Amino acid sequence: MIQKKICMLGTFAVGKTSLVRRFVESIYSDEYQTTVGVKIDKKILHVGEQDVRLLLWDIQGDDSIQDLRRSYLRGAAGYLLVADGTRRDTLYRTRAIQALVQETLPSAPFLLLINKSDLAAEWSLEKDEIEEIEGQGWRVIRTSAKTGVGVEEAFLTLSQKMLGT
Amino acid sequence: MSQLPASICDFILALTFETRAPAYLLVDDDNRLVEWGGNLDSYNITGLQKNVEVDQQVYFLAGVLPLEDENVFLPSVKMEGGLYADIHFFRAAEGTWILFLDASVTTIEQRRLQQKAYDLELERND
Repeated sequence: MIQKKICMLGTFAVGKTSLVRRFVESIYSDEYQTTVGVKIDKKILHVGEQDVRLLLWDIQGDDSIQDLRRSYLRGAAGYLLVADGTRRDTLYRTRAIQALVQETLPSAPFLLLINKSDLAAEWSLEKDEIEEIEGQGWRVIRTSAKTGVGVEEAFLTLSQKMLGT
Repeated sequence: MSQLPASICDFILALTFETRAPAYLLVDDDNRLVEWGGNLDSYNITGLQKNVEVDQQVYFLAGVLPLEDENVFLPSVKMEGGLYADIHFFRAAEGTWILFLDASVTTIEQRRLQQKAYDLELERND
């Protein structure tokens, strides 16, 4: 079976672990539990005509992007950048992280997930800020690990990009 | 090699065996498993087969191998059994060695401190 490694990237407490749990186990918890190092999950996804085993590397979200350990990125076929819609600074940090990751994975496809869409009323991001990023060619998906909105779509879209389908 | 006295080297070795559950895999240049040993059960790595691609048996290794010239270090990898491992990859004449060392004690302590720091920061920003 084809295997593809996906890295989950973003600053702390944006919901990377919750997105993986929602996708893999269909569960959600409101309790924030920080990730240290990396946790690896797997899930088989049907993409087009084939099954793909996705290896999901949920990487510690550091406060400083300089702390991102590049060895965790090794062999990744794609990555998901995660920002928290209620914390504007997390969006800008994803841009800095992407610039850094680009050096290691120059041709790997990626998506930007703006998480916590269930709290859209509390979002500190303006619509035009998101449109500006989309205008730069980034694919943006609004997600909620809590409700599941956009989660399956995000992993499927990235898988399609990785497989070129 | 080491400038340390033999007794110190012996002590370090014994300490590593006692506290860090060393385990290893040896992989050839085609990524096939050649040999394995140590406390692999601690890392939930079981049912291994010789001459079968290692990333079809230990899934999270997909993409990490093959190594080129450099060594690779993956710290604090949470294993399926719940234990944290420091994983070292290095090349030798006989192939690529993958060494697992239990890092649970230090990682759990780091996690406790990090949780406190991030909780405080999130509270401050509320």
